[in-house]
Amino acid sequence: MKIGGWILLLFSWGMIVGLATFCFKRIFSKKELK
Amino acid sequence: MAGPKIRDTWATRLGVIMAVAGSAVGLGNFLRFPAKAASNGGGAFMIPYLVSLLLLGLPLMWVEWTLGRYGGGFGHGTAPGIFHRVWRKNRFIKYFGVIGIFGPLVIFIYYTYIESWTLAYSFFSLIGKSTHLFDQASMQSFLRGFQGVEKNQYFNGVGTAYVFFVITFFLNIGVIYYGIKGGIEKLCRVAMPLLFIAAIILFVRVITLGTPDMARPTWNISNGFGFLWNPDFGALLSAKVWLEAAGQIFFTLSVGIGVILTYASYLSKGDDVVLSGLTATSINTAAEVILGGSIIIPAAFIFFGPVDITAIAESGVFNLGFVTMPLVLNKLPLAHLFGFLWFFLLFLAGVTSAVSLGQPAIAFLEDEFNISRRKAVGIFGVVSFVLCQFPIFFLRNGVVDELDFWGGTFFLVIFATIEVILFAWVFGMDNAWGEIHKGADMVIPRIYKYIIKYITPLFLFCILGIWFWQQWLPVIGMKNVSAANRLYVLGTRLGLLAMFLVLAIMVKIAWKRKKARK
Repeated sequence: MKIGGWILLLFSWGMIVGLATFCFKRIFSKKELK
Repeated sequence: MAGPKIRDTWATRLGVIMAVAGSAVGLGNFLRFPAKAASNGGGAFMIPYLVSLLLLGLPLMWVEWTLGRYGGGFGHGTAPGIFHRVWRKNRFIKYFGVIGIFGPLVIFIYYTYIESWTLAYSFFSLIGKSTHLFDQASMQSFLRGFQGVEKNQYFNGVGTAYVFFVITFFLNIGVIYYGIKGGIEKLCRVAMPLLFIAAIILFVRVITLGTPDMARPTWNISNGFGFLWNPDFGALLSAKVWLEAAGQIFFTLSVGIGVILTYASYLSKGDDVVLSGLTATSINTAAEVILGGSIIIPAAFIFFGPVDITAIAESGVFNLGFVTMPLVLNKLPLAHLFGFLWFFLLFLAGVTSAVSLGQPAIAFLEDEFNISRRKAVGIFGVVSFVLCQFPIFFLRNGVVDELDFWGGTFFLVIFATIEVILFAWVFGMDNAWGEIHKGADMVIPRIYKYIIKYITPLFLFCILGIWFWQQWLPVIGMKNVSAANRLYVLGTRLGLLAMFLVLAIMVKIAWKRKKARK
């Protein structure tokens, strides 16, 4: 794989994992359904 | 006359998120995405993909969650009631909402059959019925025999497929029968983690393949990922690539179908939709980009090489899932186990999507006709079982493609456009912004106020405009349909029109009854 491919892969995966981590961290620290 | 019933609710927050994510994570995450990315610029495809996610997918996700919760507060779980609630002065808007029941029903009709293939293939893998096949021709013949398209040494007709269809159908109906909390939520809370476990095992298996054939050192995992991720930035100049990316975002997130509206209608007024919608989006995107993008294409590259992989990537999702991937897995040790895992993963993705597709029609009958869930599921079960016969027995005649085009593609964009216009322009962006943030656990960046009002509708109009410009005449004129199939395709279109009209008449009757009651 070329360097450009690695950059795009790592950027995309990093963004998605970061977003999911952010969401779940918040979900578990917030209130349940009313 | 019985009074209005108490509507079902979700038991937990994670439950509703898993259900929405389960609806979104489907066969497309593991089959459609990698094929689209590979043939539309590789890694460069991620640029229009992420742009579409931010400007189209995410705003529509929030719009649907919010409209659904809003409508649920008035006892409406489907688009006719919700749209009417948003635009009370317009007596026609409820008929546009029919799309939100029609679309999921149409998809359910053919999706259940495809879902049943995954269950059947899981079983075939376990008993080793297909694990001794090592070339494309045999595996394709196996698939055609199973589908009943031809009689061959593997299958004598469509009988086996039909048995698995009946099992799958009743499984779907059974889950729906037990309701939101007792059926769908329970299923998704178990099925989604299992799906991720199966996908992670396959992911690890693929990335540890290394270079299985030392005589072909370039057929390795790094180049397999390279085939999918090496960017061709020139592709970004093509409108087609942007349209493909926007289309993929639509299909993958289940927006524009009407399913999320219905699911969100079972929330309470003070329940968060912002963080929940974002979380469901992140789960779906992770399943698609990280897991979906790392299994089938890199694995197929390793075993079929750089020349054949291009044709494989463009061979269609059925060929990828039911021919290429089993061939790859058959070449590995423990082929039975990995074959089972692959198809069971697709089955889990399928069942969590199928139950969501059945729910809008059930909710419509329950909410607008005030009938019990039991009765509603019974009516839905009988009607959809009859309708499901068409894709089974007319598969070879292009019926599934036709249903997929109208129910699963065209009306998605139309419905999403109506939703966003209603939300941002009729409901009013200030009201809408307040409604989104009721009970919210996070604040949406303010720029989304403008994105939802201007950019998302514009994006949708562009997609519709380009589609009409490029494809309207060939589609209507059936230019790409073989002469032998034209009658079947025409019959399917007339059948769909009749279905739409029946639903519209039902809406008229429901509203007339309500008016009479008042």
